[in-house]
Amino acid sequence: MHWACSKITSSLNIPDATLLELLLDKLKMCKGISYAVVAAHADKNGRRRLAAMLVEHEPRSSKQVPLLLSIGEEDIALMKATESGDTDLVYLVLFHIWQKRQPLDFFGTIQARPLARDLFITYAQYYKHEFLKDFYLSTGQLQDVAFLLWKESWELEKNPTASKGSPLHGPRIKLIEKAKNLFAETKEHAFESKAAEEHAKLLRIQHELEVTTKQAIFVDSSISDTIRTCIVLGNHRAAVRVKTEFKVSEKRWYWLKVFALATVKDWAALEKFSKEKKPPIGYRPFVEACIEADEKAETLKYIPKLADPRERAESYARIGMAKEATDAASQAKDGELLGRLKLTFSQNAAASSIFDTLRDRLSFQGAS
Amino acid sequence: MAQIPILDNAPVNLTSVREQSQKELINILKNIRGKKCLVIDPKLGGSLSLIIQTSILKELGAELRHLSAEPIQTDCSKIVYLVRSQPNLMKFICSNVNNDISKGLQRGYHVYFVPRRTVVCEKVLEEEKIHHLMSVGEYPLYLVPMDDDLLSFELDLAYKECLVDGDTTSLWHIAKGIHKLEFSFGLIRNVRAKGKASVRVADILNRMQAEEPVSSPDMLVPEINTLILLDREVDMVTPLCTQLTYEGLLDEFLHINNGAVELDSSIMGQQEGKKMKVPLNSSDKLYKEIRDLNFEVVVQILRQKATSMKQDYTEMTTTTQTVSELKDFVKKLNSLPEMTRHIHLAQHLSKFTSKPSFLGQLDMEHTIIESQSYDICFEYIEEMIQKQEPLATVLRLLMLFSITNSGLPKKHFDYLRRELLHSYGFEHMATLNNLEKSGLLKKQETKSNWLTVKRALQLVVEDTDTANPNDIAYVFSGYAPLSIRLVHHAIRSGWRPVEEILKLLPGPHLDTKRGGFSNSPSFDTLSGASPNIARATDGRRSLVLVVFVGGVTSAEISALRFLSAQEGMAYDLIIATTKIINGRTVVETFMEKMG
Repeated sequence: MHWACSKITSSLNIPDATLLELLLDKLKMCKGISYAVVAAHADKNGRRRLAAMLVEHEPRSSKQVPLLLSIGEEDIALMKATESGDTDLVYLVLFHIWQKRQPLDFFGTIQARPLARDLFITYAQYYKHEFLKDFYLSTGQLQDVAFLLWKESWELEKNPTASKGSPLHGPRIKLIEKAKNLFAETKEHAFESKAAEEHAKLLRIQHELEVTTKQAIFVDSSISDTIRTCIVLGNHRAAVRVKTEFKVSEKRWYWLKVFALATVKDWAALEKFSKEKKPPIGYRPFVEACIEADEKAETLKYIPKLADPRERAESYARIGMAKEATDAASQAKDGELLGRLKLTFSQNAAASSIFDTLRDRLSFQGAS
Repeated sequence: MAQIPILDNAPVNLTSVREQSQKELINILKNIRGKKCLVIDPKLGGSLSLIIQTSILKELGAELRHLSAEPIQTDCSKIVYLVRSQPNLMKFICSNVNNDISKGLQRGYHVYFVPRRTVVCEKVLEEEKIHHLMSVGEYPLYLVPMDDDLLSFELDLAYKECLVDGDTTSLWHIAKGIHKLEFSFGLIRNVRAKGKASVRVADILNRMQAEEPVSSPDMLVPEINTLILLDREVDMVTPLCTQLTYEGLLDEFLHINNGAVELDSSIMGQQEGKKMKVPLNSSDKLYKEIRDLNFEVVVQILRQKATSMKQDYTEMTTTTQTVSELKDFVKKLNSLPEMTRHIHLAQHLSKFTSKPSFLGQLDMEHTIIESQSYDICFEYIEEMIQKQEPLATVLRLLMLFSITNSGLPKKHFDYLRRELLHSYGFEHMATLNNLEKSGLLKKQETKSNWLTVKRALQLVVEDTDTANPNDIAYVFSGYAPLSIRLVHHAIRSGWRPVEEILKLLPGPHLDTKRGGFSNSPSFDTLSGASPNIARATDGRRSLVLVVFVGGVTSAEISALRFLSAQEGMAYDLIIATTKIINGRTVVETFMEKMG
């Protein structure tokens, strides 16, 4: 090593290529030589090109990359770091270039290198939010800016000094609408744009609802939950309004209304609803809601209305009415179902006792 | 029973691997004189519970705390942070230190990064202007032995980081972990990989070998013969299915963390109201026997054992016994705690498995995998969303549906996503975006080849006899994990026989032989690449290290153990994974609530 360094110092007149060959010839016979150190020496002696050529021969990327940085070969450093798979080295180069270059220049460099770019985004997401936005804007990734803004709008919501129904909802909604516009600009994110639009609309409606009902329970619930809450509070007009505004399908509407009415145990209203017109998904929601509420009498009102005898059989089984269940299964001429039901009824008695028996068998007198 | 598994039966000396980690941590603590407060990030703490007993740490003068934003309550003037090198953990350290400064507390700070210090973490500390107060070191923990045939890299976010964030740090970590094993057990000659990340790991491993070679003295045969690397991405169907092995179900319903489940003591037959940890590893002989079996069978086995125990007891008390017969019975009694433990656990599990909703879910998973009834599956999922069933459950089925169909037709894709946002809230847009980026829930662009793969590899097996299985499909009662079919081929005969199928699955594949000192292994597919892995000269079976890049389920591990135990298998297996996962944990890593 000493020899190599002094050779460099004393060979000012020998051209780089020749000197390189001389050095490599000798050095390759020494095991574990640090080309990085020799290259550093060359660089210090003003022989940058020679240094670059020597560095090429340094096998250890952890030594090679920092040296490339120190001799100003940032792009090669980035390439070598990426090839090595050692993300720590990539970060090293990344931060170095970040400090040295102008933003736009920096952006251009990393945009071309996916790994560096992704690592930059991972870091900047938490610590350099605004700078990240500049990056996305300069590289034309409007949808990413839109997502950032959308996420930021939630931060506004977390502000503890904001009381519900305060003007703070104005800026929040504005941010979401900004996101919506950015999504629309990209022409490939129509779905996200629509979603942001609906989100903003929902917040406005929820804000109004909180004012009219004087209850701070709407903002930040989902559309479905908003509808349920309205029904539970008895405000059916508002529920219908939300349904219309967001084009909620009849199917979903029925599920929501049925379960909401069951929650408040308004069985009369539920029955009325079931008779308004033929339910688009049949009477299953009614049956399910009543079973979950443990209302056997109500359940029995709807089971007979189920079109499919198999569904009738399963429902009777769920409320423990064995005879009716097997009758319905026979009607369905579904032997498999019949067999399964018979098994369930006899098993239910036995099922829970298996483990009790096991435990009994293990509890001996005197043994613990 | 201890949470730290006994590793005596491991095919390679894993005990020494663990002891090395113990020593390194002990040295770190010894190097800091006097009393110190050891602040550990909770996830890391979980991993450490499999390496070292907290009592040893305390004996070295450490007061233990968990990392949090709350100020550290302690009299110690020396604070030692032991944290994974994740930038988002730095904020807790900053908050602690700033709090101390504001109170005028004079403390000495050390931070040990796991597995190594990184530029990005130190940058954060610099930006927060506290780096100069810290003495920085590293604790090189890359691998944690979970059991005598199982290692974990403890990288629970690896899959999401690679697919969504483009951050491949975990791949370097895996390569480093394997390289370290090679220093202990010799250079692994044969490497087979499938998947973009796996091929990358193989590449990084070769670079590491070139930069810091493992020397293999010619006399010694390397202990590990073959390395198989498989991307989780190649088979995302399996982890989304509900596992039906005993251990699989324990994980699905009770959540196995760091080799133990935590439950209310009443479940284990004790007084209600306390939480207790039940360790689950192969030191529990009964558990070792039943963990990999289908749950249906486990119930029968427990019943048989209990009956036989009772009979023996009856004999004991009603007939005269010789001393040796008495001794035998007492020995059998030793297995009583294990039996009681598992009877309680099994009973608790059956509460979940007997619910009609559980059977309905299994039925739907099966229908989706059969992939012959698109409309039925679509309507089922649509209804679940409209009824606002738990989001994680819905997403699990939806992802399974999307993957087996290679994405959803645009109309349905947009429709279901809108229904999700309407039902659960717009804050889940970020989750949907993550799932789309990772390809797990996307628009259908090409025709699905799932049916072809399913048929070619015989993934759906009718008439599985769960009591006496002859095929790995028993772990899902009729579905053979795609990943394990692939690994089976890779071990037996390399990739050649299944190349046509591999082309239908994501990512490149490779099959190479590495030389002892060579720097540039050939990447060509070798014809009939070592179809027969030679037995080691001392007659032991060859050892294969199977690495799952992105996670593995315990059902898949059971399937591998099943294969290894078959007649005519010429090899032992060690399994390594970034993390042990299940359908729920997979969904959770991609879920991101905005706000």
